[in-house]
Amino acid sequence: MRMPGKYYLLMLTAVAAIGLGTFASGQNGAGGLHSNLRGNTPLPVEGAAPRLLPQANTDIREVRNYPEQPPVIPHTIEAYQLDSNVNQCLSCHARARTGESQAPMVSITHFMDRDGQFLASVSPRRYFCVQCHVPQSPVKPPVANSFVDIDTLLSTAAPTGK
Amino acid sequence: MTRRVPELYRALPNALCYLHPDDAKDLQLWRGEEIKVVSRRGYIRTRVETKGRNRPPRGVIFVPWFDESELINKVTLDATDPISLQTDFKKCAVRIEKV
Amino acid sequence: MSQQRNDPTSPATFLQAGARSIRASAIRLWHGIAPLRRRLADYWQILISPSQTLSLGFLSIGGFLAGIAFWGAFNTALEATNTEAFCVSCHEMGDNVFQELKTTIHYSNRSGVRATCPDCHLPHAWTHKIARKIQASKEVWGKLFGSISTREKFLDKRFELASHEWERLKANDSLECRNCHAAASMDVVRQSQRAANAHQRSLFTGQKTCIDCHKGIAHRLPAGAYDFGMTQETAALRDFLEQRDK
Repeated sequence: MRMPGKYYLLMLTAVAAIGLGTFASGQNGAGGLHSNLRGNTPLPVEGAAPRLLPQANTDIREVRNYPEQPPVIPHTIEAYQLDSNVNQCLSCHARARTGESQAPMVSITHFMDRDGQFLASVSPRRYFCVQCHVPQSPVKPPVANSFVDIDTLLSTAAPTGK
Repeated sequence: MTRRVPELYRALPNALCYLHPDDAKDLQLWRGEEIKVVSRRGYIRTRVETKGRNRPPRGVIFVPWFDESELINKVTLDATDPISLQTDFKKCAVRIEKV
Repeated sequence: MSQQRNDPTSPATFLQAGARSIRASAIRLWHGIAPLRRRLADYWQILISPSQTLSLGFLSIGGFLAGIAFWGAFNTALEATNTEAFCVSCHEMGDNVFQELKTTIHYSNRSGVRATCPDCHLPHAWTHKIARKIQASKEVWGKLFGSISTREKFLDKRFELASHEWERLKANDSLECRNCHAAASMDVVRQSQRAANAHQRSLFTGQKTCIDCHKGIAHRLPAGAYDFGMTQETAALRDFLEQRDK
């Protein structure tokens, strides 16, 4: 059946739109459903799951990216009990225990309440360590990280005098 | 969530299936084994974890969201709330199969 | 003395009357069990008389073999009560401490070498083992009378029970730990840095024993095990959660 003339323009626009869409999404791969973080596996397909790696137990303190960063935990914390009854992290990192354990003391910020007043012991808001501190696994991050810390930033800015 | 912060990525590189150790034993799964989490709507492949930060009770598994290579929303419900039309992603019945 | 005897209100009179009535009761009892005494006397006669029909060899060697069989049976029964399956058959243990063990390194680890209940809680040396078994009658009592039969009762008594074990291990220098983990065989090169440091500083010098640092290695720690960092606020939070989750 022949299409009436007035619909030709509409159809042409529709085809052009679809064609353009296909072309644009075709840049990324099959059907536009593609992500590098999936390891180039198409979306409808399930790729193999990577192996579980043990937590790094290096005991080497990593440099923080900025002063406020909660330092990462350089040792394993598997089966460490951290609940309302017992905080096993503090068995080494509490002030009174650092002499024997030689572990870094919980920073003074952990003793502050929300008004900035210092308490006698660790504040409840900082009691659950693993809300902020994590152990590490020896894996390579998939996405390149372009973060520069403030020292680098300031040193590169200085020559221009800004 | 974006897997772009290296420290956080290294803390948990991939999504895991957190299981109670007794459930793993009944299903004859060992920790770190690759499994399929299957529902009516689809499946994903992931690994068993019985000692992680999450300790679900018996009969419950937990898989977090953030991992693009293990899209758990292939498995979850697509039912929506009748009023708000918000999807009920949060829970569904699954079975675990060995790969 | 006769005056005391005639005085009905004095304590001496009271005591003498009591002693007389006890003596009378004893004499009646002695005569009452005469048939039993007769039978016992007959058995005693059998025991001390020489054998009439059975040979010396049969009695002595047979007795020796029967003794071995009895000892074997006794020991098997005793060892059956030393197994994890037996310990865990009581719900007080199976639902509480055994579930907690499953998340620890003594249950699941790299080498698959497991520790079961008796490995840590029962001395290996025979005399100490038997002593502990006799002491375990207290636990039988506790089971019969339900001293920790509910989760709440268990949690209430938890610190006390844990303290018993910590004191026991401290007193015997963590003997049960050393049944498997010998300090002389500990290769600190294969350990992590802080483990190596801690063991060299505290264990090898004899300053500390295993249980001093490794409390909570097998079961969850009770409140009060480590109180470092516990403010009043945190303790209040803990009490609130305890109440709420009861």
